[in-house]
Amino acid sequence: MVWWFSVPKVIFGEDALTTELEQLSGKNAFILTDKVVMGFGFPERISEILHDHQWSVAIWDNAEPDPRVSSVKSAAEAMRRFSTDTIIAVGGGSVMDTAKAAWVLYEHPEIQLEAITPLQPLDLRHKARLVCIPTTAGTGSEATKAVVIREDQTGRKFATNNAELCPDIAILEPGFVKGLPKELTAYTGLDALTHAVEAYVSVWKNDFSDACTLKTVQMVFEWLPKSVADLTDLQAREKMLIAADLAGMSFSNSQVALGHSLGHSLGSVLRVQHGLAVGLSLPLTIEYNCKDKPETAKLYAELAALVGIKKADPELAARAFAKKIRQLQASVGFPTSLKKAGVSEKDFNDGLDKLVQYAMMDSSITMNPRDIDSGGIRKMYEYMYSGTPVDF
Amino acid sequence: MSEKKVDFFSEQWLKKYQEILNKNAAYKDAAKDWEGDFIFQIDADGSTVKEPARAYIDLWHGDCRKVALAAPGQKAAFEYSGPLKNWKLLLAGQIDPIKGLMARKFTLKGDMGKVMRYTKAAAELVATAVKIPTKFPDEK
Repeated sequence: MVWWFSVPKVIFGEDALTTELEQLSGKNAFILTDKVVMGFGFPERISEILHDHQWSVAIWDNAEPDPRVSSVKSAAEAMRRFSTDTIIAVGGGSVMDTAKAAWVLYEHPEIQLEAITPLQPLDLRHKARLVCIPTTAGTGSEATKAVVIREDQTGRKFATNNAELCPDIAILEPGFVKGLPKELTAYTGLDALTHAVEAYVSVWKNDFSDACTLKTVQMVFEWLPKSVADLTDLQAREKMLIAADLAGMSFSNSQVALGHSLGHSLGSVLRVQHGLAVGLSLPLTIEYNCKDKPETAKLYAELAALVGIKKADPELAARAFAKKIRQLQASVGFPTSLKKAGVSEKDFNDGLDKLVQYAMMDSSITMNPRDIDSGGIRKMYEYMYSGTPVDF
Repeated sequence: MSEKKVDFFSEQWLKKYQEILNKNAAYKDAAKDWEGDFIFQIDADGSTVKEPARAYIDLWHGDCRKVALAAPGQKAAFEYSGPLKNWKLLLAGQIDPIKGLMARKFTLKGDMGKVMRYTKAAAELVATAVKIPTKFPDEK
């Protein structure tokens, strides 16, 4: 069946930022960021380069973690007031998702964000185009057509995608991720790995996304421990930035699966950080998906071989791969259970029904290679809470 | 002995579909909060399918309450339509119902955002149809 592989123009390597910004055409650049990134001075640096080339620049630094619809509307209104022709998102996944969603409302205020699906045209790029500059190495949002927004009233995160949301330009500037603290480096790195692995077993997988996954898995296992061990290792930072971008290209064109359904729900109900939520889910979903599914187990075995695991039985290879991921997590200080991540037993039990309900409503669940019902999801969360490998 | 094939979108086929869907625990689980009726349509192609063939299916909280052949102007909250060749691929498991929409193999009228929150239920609707030994209009 016909399919598409959409990616932005990607600029990476030495002087990526300056080189690309100097070539950029337009008049009114709207830099969308958050207070943390402002503190690092990155938006100011971008602004200076653009001012030198006769741009007018506005900086909006009110992006929030797990952006709500109301926050997105504020950003869109600010874009309108400035007659923006170029949106420059500088930040992590929440910043870039805010920019994507606000871009939609800026171009078409009548669109309901909840109604965005992959199925209908958005008719963007009449007023502005989108440039993304990530300051974390994990989300890959700068390379994806995906967006995750939170409903104001319920707090439910809804993930969707549309081909037109793929940014026009992604600038990978290693200097912009050097301030990332150890914990966030680990969380976001595991987010990238989860994107890549889930894309490889998604029912919508394809050869192009597979290629991106294979390189990502190699890179994350090689460079994430170095990136966490030495926060000043710029080479490791750059490699992880590229790995995250490749993982974004992979899942954006083939979709993520059960790990993200579980993770999105954890973010909605218990406000667990996204990389932590999906990273905790990843080994459990591998163990779940490989059971009695030889074709899926074989796919995991292919990834396992990339990190030195060679077993004749694909299911054993898949389980060894899950174990290897847990070892990687341990090596970068990543918690091994929701309990160890600081979620109280009371909060977990109080939120469990909602966790299950929201995970069932997440469209990524349909992309999972092995079917699961609400009872299975409940068990997954219980195993995740205690950190027990999945055996069902 | 294999089960006798039933004409696609005939009253008999729809009754069979309702019967199997109402026994599908995975569908009940995934659609327990779903409210909304569907019209499924095989588009006219000028040769095998002279007039659009339409089926009405009323879905409510995991139950299929009613099935019927639908008149040309009959409305429902959702309308999912495509040519016969794509319905055959769908029922053969070669097209995913949502991917089929993205690849323009099918069209959907209605609240697409709502459907995207129930993709698992949508997959079970198709999985149920696959279980019926179906005779398509171009088969002798």
